[in-house]
This record gives sequence, structure tokens and C-alpha cells, in this order.
Amino acid sequence: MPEFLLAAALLVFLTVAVGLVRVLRGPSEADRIMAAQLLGTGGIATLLLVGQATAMPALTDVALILALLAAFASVAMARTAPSREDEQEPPA
Amino acid sequence: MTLLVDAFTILAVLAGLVFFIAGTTGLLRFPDTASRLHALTKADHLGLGLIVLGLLPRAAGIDGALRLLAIWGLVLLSSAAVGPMIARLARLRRPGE
Amino acid sequence: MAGPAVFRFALLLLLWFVVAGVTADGAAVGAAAALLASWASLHLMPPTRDWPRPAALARLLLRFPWQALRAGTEVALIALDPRRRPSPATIAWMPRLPPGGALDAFLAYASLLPGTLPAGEIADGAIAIHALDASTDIAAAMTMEEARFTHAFGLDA
Repeated sequence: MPEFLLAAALLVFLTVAVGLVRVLRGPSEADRIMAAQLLGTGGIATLLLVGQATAMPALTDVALILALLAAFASVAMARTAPSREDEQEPPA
Repeated sequence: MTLLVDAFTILAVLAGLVFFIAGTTGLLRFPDTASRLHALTKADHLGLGLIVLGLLPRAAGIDGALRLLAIWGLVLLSSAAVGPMIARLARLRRPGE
Repeated sequence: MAGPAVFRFALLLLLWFVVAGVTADGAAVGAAAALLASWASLHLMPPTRDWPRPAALARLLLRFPWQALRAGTEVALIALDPRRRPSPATIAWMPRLPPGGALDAFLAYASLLPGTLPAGEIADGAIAIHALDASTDIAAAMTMEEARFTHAFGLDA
């Protein structure tokens, strides 16, 4: 079973990596903010699977912290990105 | 019994993997930012939910299981709050889409 | 004021115990954290007179995994089938809820439902809804979900 879970973790990690390349290429800021979301969700899944496979429950706590940080990072980026006031500005 | 639990874990985790793959495929294929956001929030979160489901019976006791569910809940809550913000940003940046 | 404060403190403390585990030396830290969090929540989200309907709320919560499954499957089918492309569209939808915290909460919830993704206010209170598949009646579905949501949280009392 640990082998299966580790393989699954690796696969999730790969999909996240591929997704990250797409998302970081943009073109818009929104795409890049999505990188934080993708890394959050996929990273948590990877950590939970590895934590179970290697019997390291502490990784669950790392996943939990990642969940919180990803949330704050996304909110901060979405909030500080140009908003209502710049509505009329042409996109950069 | 353990065989049954193993089968359950394998099925749920495999199903979760399918949705992570679908999410990334959507990110690569979908033409506009908001559609990619659909792929990310809906497919990936279901993927995480299914992986959490698969790990539930292996969790250390009821508190371990609750903690796993709390993680999924937190991810859903934060993405629910952030999703509309990112979608709005995407819409303002590309008027007339 | 005291009722909601105690209620929120209890919920947050419970969340702490779920997340951090029940330990003797952790309890004091948890209590302090829950106290700060309740204080912040009371400031950011002052208590209202609305009270959730437990049965309707339970139905809403129990329906959620099913909705998540539908939402994810729908996206996955479009993404994985090379012959299909999404036919996205942004529609204007008129909420019944007045602007404010309750509407924001509903829009956040709606972003997790199948096919819909709120994308901010357009004008005159209308909300832009991005739909992955514009062939269905998105506005009607949103209004129905909104009714479910308002009923569960007792916002229509």
C-alpha cells in the first residue's frame, strides 16, 4: 500500500507541475494567482498521500499550514491586483 | 477487512487522480482564464476530496479523520472566497469577453 | 451580544481541537486563539438576528458532496474529451439578496456549484456569472440555489 500511495503522490505532483507551467505563463494576473491555488490543492494532496505512505503524521500538519497559506496568498494577490479604480485602464 | 479497506483507498485515490489530471488538462486546454478557473476550483477540489475520502479509513483514530476533513473544508472555504475574486479580476482585465 | 460571542468561541475552540488535537498544554493556546478569533469575527461579521434553520442547513450541507461531484465531473468530462470544447459565456444575474455579507457568502458558495462562477458586480446590482456551458438556464439555477441558501440560513425570515 505505501508504494501505491507514493506513486499516487508522485502523479499528483506531476499534474501540479505541468499545471504550474501553464498557469505561470499567464497571460493575465488572474492566471498567476491561480498558481497559488493549484499549488495549495495539489500540494496538500501530495503531502497527505506521502504522510500516510511514510507513516509521518506530521506531514498532515504541513498540509494544514499549506492550506492556510495558500488561502491568504490568493486573497492578498487578488486584493492587491489592480481593481475597481483601474477598471477603465487598458490591460497592461 | 484490510483487503476491503485497501480496495476502498485504491479506488478513491485513483478517482481523485483522474480529477487532478482532468483539472490540469482543463488548465492546458480551456481557452479563457475564467474557464481555467472552473477547471482548477471544481476538478482539483473534487480530486482532493476523493483522496481525503480514500485516506479516511487509514487515519489515526477519529481525530485523525476529522483533521483530514477539516483540511478539505478549509481548502473549499478558501477557494470559495477566492474564486469570485479571481474571476472578477479576470473579467475586468479582459473586457468584452 | 453575549450569545453569538459564546457560540462563535465554542465553535472556534472546537475547530482548534479538531485541527491541533486535544492536549492539556495545547488547550490554553487554543483558548487564547479562539478568543482572538471570536473577537475578530465579531468585528468583521457582526451578529445579526437571522438564525439558520437546522434541518434546511443540514440538507444544504449534505447535498454539497453530491454537488461537488457533479461540478467536478462536468468539468472533467469537458476537459478530458478531445472532441468537446467549453462554450463559456458570461451572463448577468439579478440577485434577490441585497448587497452585503450574505450575498457575498452566497456568491462564494455558488462558485463551488456545478457550472457557475460569480465574477463580480456589473451594474445596478447585477452580478456577472461565468458559465462553463452556456446552453443551460444559468440565471434560473442561480435563483433556485439562492432561495435554498437564504432559506437554510434564515435570511428570509
